[in-house]
Amino acid sequence: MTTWIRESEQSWIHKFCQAVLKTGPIPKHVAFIMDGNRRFASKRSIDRAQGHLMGFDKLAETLEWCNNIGISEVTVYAFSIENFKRSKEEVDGLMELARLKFTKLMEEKELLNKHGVCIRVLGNLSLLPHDIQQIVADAMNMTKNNNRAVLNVCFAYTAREEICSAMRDIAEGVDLGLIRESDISESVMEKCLYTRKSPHPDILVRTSGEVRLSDFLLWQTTYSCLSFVRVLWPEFSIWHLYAGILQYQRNYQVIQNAIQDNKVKREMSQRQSDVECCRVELLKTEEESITQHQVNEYSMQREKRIKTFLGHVEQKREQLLSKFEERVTYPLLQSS
Amino acid sequence: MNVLWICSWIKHVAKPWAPFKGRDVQSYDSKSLKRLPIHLGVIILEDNISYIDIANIIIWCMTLGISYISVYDRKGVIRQNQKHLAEEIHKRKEELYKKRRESFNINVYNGLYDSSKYTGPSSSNSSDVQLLSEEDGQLSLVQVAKEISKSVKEKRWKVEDVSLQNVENYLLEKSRFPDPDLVIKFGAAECLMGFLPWQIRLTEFFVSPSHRGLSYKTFLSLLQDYGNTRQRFGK
Repeated sequence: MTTWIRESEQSWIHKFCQAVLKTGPIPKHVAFIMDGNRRFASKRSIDRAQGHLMGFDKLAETLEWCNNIGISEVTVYAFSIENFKRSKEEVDGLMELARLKFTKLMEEKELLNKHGVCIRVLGNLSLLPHDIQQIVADAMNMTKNNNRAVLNVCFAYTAREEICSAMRDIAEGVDLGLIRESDISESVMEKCLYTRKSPHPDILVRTSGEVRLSDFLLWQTTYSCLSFVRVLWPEFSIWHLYAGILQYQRNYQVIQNAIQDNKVKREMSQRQSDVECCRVELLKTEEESITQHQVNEYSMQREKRIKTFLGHVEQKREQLLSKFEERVTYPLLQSS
Repeated sequence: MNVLWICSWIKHVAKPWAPFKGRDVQSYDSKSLKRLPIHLGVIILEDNISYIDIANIIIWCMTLGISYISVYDRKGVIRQNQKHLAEEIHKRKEELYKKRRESFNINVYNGLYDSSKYTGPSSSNSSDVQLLSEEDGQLSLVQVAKEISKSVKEKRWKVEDVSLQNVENYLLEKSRFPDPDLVIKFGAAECLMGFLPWQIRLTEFFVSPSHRGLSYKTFLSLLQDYGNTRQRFGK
């Protein structure tokens, strides 16, 4: 089975376990570092390409489990920018796998729309071969209006490159006068990351026993429940997923408290900053008083600037994707 | 019977004179470790903080040859009680000097961007410690984004200069500490609670239930486990 979307019958024991888990909080977004395909291949004495293929099958299976239990968003680390360092043979093999799978995805349009699945490919897409850029842009365009489930595929991605790209967009925004240096906050940073349309992952799962984040969603997972699992990715089972959810439930309160505390800190800090900036803007000294109304006015203006800036960033992204979509048609025109 | 009683009395009286629980730091221990972290991070998730145990960890790191140590608690309680920690570290340094006639230097800095951080080469008898909290995580990256934006606005940097290489170098220069190779998380919660998101790109994470009453034996065995792991770096 090599399709993305599965619709298999659920066993009664799975249904029972799900019902039990659903008495507690269920994560809305789970991220996976699908590590171990190559070690699995060598363990089974099959070639690496086969290992990656089985890894893809496991992904499709995992998506079905997530869908059944109510996890509506899944993010996976499919290809890191660091992976370009691998042998040409392996990189080409992985690109070929991507080509195959994304093309297959386009054929499953009805199934995707039936389940309301939105596909997003996150990363520095300019690093990919042109034809993959086009397929990926098409896949995103085709599913962009679906809203029941989201699958984010991190491809040509590293967290540092993502954070740096957000910093660059922000610096450009300040340079163009769209936003002020004082407008920059955690919230603005988050809205400039590739993951800006998604909530932060509730759980980060990494298979194969490695206990590192390997440059994956570093900003977004700072308050996520971490589940390091010892099995290789193609051996990941629904029981490991259930165990991850139980872990999430066990840690739920303490993590929510930390997130809430951080949120309050951010709001207070923003309020303080607005008061100070308002004072500076109205040329008032520390002793002179400013009214709540004046501060509110300033906040509104700040939010307006940020909205315009984010619109500009979004437009840049759309233009890039359109460029990818148009790219492959040119050679066809020239040959005739 | 008398001999036994005398022995237990001696043991009871000798307790305050024994600074390290159980086995003491031996100089051959660092040679027994295949790989030593250059920068060790410690995340304390427990509410009840023991400065004696944190001081122990710092001293053990220093005698094993670990040059950089980070100590983190989300709310910054340790940062606020830097003086108390400094006192405990001082006590242990004195005990160590009495025992081994070696003098060590431990510099304790408050926060990731503490401007008093020493910039010269590290020496074998000195370790640098930075006390961190949540503000050194996402908020510090926001701070850097502001500084970089200012540089671009003031034409010191071009927008194209905001490259990964330049941002990495900028952050390393500002914090003066390399990225942590190993982080030990103490406490039950399975979450990093805001710890240095940028710097933990390739960090290995080990866990231990509690920092309170941590024995040297347990600490050493964690480092031995670290020495036995191997990274592939994406290849």
